Amino acid sequence: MSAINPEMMREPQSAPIRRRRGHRPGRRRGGLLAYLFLAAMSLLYVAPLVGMVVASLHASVRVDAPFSVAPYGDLIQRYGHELGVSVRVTVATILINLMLTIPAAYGLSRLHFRGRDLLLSALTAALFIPPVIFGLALLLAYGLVFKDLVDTLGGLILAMVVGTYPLMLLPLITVLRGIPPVYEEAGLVLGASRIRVFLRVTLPLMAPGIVAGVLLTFIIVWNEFLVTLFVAGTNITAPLLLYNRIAFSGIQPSTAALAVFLQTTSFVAIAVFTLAVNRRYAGRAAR
Amino acid sequence: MTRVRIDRLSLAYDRDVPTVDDVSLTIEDGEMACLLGPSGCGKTTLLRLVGGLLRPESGDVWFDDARMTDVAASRRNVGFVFQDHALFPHLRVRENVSFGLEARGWSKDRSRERVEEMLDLVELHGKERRFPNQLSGGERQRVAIARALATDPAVLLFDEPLSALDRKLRDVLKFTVQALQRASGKTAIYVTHDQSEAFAIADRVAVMHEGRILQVGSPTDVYLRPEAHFVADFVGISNRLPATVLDGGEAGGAVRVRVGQAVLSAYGAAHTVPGEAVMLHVRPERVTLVPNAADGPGDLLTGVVERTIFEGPTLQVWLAVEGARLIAEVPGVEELDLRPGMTVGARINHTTVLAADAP
Repeated sequence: MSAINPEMMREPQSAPIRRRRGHRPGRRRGGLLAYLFLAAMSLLYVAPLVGMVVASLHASVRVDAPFSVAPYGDLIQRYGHELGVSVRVTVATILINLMLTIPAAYGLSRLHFRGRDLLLSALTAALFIPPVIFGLALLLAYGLVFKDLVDTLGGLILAMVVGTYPLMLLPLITVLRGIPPVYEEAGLVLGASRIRVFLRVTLPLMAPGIVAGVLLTFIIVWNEFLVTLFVAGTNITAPLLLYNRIAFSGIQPSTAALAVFLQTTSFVAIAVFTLAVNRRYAGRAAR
Repeated sequence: MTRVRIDRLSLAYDRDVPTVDDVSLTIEDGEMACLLGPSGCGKTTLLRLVGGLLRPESGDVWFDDARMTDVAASRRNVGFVFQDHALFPHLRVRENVSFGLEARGWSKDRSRERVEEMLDLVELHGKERRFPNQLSGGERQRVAIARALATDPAVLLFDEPLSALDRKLRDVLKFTVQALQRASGKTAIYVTHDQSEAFAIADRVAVMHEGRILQVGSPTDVYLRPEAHFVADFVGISNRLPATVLDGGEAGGAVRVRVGQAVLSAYGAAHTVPGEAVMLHVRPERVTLVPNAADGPGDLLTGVVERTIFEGPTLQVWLAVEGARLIAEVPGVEELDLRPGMTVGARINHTTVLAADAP
């Protein structure tokens, strides 16, 4: 295999693609305006959070109470159990959602069958049920039919799964529809089994959708309160505890500290996840 | 070393792909066959049937004595080069090329050696760690070829591998593809809608139209001795002149025909009988113009110049001949001072006779 004329390999043009760095000078003023506008907009949600942070940094609920970080000191000790329940419910829900929705999304986007779109609509209907009605429905279902699930962690997790799997399913379907089947065909003709093609080609290419689904599920379940209120029983999650404490003993600094902690973990998780994924996949999926 | 036999393949029920209608074709060991046709003619469908990416409704695909019809794509051992190369975007060049080797359970060392060998072959050494989006269009196509060759496939299948590239790059890469195919000695099927690409690299060309193969032959056969009006029209410009058979015969022989007052000798692509009204196909570059037509011998047609189009190397001259239009492509602009309305003689050096109602 050496009888090939090197001339044949040479390309007439091979302009390297360079990405423009820096700003165009004419855009600077507009950029500043946009920046100020967005900063002002972000105050809309930052301002209330600032109040919460301030409240969490005092020794007691009184306005003239001295500054203190004590409310954060025993956060884990005080609320460890509830935070643990939250972590378990969130992680379990995400994992179960993934296991359910990856095959479902694959089927709904790759296989052709009668009634596919109708099925998809039915599967995403949970998104359009108000949580309070959903909670009541689950309460009735558990109380009357699935009696084993009453007041169990499993029952709580199931409630979260039922309420959030469309949030995982939809991004997965979107991303799968954007992956041309030719990649899977290329894998097949190279001799890989369907399972191998799925694991080595389809699944990695689905990563942006998986990330979106995991983030959405995380944000909803980690902060879920209303449905939890109906089905939690004795499995008190951190947001539910937050509500209980505010309802029964007002806004204590330690309560505000828990709220800040929940909010911060959400932000950090989103930031870390997004950055990690951007670094790993930025621009690469584009041909 | 494999002989590919396509035996009466049909696929019509799948509405997502153009149909293939009772197609048979044998590609000999080491041969490069081009499936040539317009989009929607079924050429890609046929290729995908051979590759196992589609299942036929009826008919069979054979690789030598092995019936492949029910064999899954992953077990056919074909090298497939896709239209948009279809490199895995999340894998590096090295991992793309070794994908098929991993699937076959090759050891890391052996597979790394093979990848290097392949990248040397397509002259992409040193780009192992690039991702596909960090390569130029031509480099990507070469990686795709390296990936297809790495597993030492029995048959190479190319689905318009160059159509996404610009003209200049295509003209170079088609010879790269040909050289790699020749060097590997592998049987290949190459799908394209570009006749110059097909003519440049194919041993044999199969012209497809509406799911059927209309003609199979060498590039010169297909170009000079078309067996269907569609074939004549699809590969280059073809003039159609109505004519009457003087003495006919079996397909493949010489035929004498009358066009107006002139008597021409032609290649008979179909069986003809004296008196039959037929159609002549004339290539523009096979027409020479004779300025003073009046004194011409019996094989000279008389035409009136309609317009002339300067094309650089040649001059295209549109003539009205016996109620039809004859386009001639002639060199030498200066000596022929042609103007619309002038009468000139036209001599046809080669023409093919087809039945008027041929496809």
